[in-house]
Amino acid sequence: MRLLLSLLSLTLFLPVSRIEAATDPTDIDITKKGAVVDKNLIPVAIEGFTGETDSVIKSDLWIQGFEFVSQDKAMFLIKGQNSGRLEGRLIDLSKNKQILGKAYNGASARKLAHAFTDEIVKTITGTNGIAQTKICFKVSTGRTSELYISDFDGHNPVKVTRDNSIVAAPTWIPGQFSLIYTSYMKENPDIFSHELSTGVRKTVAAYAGLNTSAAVSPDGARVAMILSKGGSPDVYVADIDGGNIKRLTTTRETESSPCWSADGLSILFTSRVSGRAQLYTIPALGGKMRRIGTIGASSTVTEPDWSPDGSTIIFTSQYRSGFQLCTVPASGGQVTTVAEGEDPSWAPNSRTVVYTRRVNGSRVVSLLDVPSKRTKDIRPVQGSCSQPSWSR
Amino acid sequence: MKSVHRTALIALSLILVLFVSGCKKRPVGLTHIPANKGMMAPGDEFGAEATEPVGIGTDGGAGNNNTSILAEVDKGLAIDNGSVGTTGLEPEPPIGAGTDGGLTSGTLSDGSIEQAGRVNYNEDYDMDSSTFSSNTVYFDFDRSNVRSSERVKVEEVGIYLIAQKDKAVLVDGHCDERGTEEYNRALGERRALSVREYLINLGIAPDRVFTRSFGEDAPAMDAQTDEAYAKNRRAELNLLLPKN
Repeated sequence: MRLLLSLLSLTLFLPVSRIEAATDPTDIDITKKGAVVDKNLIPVAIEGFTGETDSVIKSDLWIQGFEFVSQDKAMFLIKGQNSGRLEGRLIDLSKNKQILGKAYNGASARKLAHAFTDEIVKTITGTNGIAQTKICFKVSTGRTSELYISDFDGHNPVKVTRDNSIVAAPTWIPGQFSLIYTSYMKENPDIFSHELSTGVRKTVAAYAGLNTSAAVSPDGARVAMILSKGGSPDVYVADIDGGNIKRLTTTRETESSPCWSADGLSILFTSRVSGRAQLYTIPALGGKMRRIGTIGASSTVTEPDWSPDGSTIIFTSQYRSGFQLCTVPASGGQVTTVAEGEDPSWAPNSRTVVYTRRVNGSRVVSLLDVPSKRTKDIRPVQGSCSQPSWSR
Repeated sequence: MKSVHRTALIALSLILVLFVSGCKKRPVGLTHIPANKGMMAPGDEFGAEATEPVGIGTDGGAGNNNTSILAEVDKGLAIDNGSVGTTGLEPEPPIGAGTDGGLTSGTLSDGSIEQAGRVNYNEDYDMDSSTFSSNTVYFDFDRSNVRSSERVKVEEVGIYLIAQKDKAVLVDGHCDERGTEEYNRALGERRALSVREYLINLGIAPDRVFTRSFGEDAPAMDAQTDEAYAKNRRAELNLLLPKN
């Protein structure tokens, strides 16, 4: 009887197994004729395209917050044909006026469609589309892992390493067709840069102990990383070639996962200095650590990424039952849970995110539209795919 | 560890055998790396010759055996980025050792003990993972402190190293998969460093204890059970026998 009572009281303290995302009442779907479905989605109609062109246009726009509806419910009409070249028009239905009309040729159907959707997004929203951007990610097969790049939607994957070793934490160097990543090819976790056109690799950091979690400043000139050469995993900053290295954090506790502010002046990272993993910023030139409040998230928050427009931080909130992606304003505050998953990376549009999900003991790379919380798995290659990073 | 002396004798005779046979062990499949006791200088380029873009799937091939003390990096795969004009980069001349600003040497005020220069484990040492195989230290979830029940394992290794002054130890830190990947890589290192700090406090010189983290990438047991997780949260100790 005592046992039963204590078991019963235990259940009161078990954490909830499902984290319910906060729902704003104004986001609720209203399927009345003519009404906007979700204030975060733009309703569009499409006609005239066939095959892969049609599916690429739809998938490109769906993940960027467009909803495909019948013409009477739409704000814009996308029409055209793709029997030879791709001819595409965009009609503003409220004014019954064509606002974009272009023909595309000279590349694959996918590439032409991506070029078209980028122009649609630019015309309607004013911001650049992401259809012609790339991601990199890690693929684990057994005890080794290699790096790949692909289109943002997982198509056209290309293997980038063949070291038969462990790789981790790949990231792009802005302004170059190059990656920086951690590799154990020299029997130790070291950081290398890799110019993709030539295959030339250079050592960025190969000190004793841990060299990992490289993050490049938005201007491509400096790199932040986690080194343990000082006797503890700390945040360091160096020139992009690894020279002029400077230690930023001096806690005995573990720091991890640095990333840069949009203006290049601050570095955001995880630290256990309080006893649990929390988010902090520190000036990139050195200075004091400042805590970023994450009210509503778990007591263990890791793997942050700062949006390119500087407004929003997305991070991983860790629970016993799994991981949740949460956003918070850049100055800290109340968090919003946006998806189940971990290890997020912002697209250049500060709206779309690529991240990792765990599925049946394996990992899957997925896309997320933060305002609408739409998600879509992309499965570029066989194997466990994780640690994706979006080119900027 | 019951037979310290017997194991020491075996290790000693191993070294003698190697010395006598004059045979330099080279692990299969690894690129030969010249001995390099110092830190690798950042920015040094390895093995690169080509300046024009190379197509997809090109095997970079083995790096050059240049005569400098710099270790080599095999060329990675070169990728044709179809939609972007590719420009080959001229190989940069090797840059001298990067300036290392702002670091104090010796023990830092927060208790961290600075690491010595980088070694290449397989080139400068013979690694023996069996001597200390029963001294693997286990950790609580999300913790890196050496529990009191685990301390005797580290103390045994300390006694051994005090007796065997020419040897060193590499501490490999590991995690279970229930954290994010880079957080776990840092946590694994923090675990290895905790063991390292303990050994140094026992009197082992800091330059005889190395740390390496595998995060969650090398579990001891590949299941999603609490039993497997407990087995994966560990620091393994590898005895390092210097090659001559």
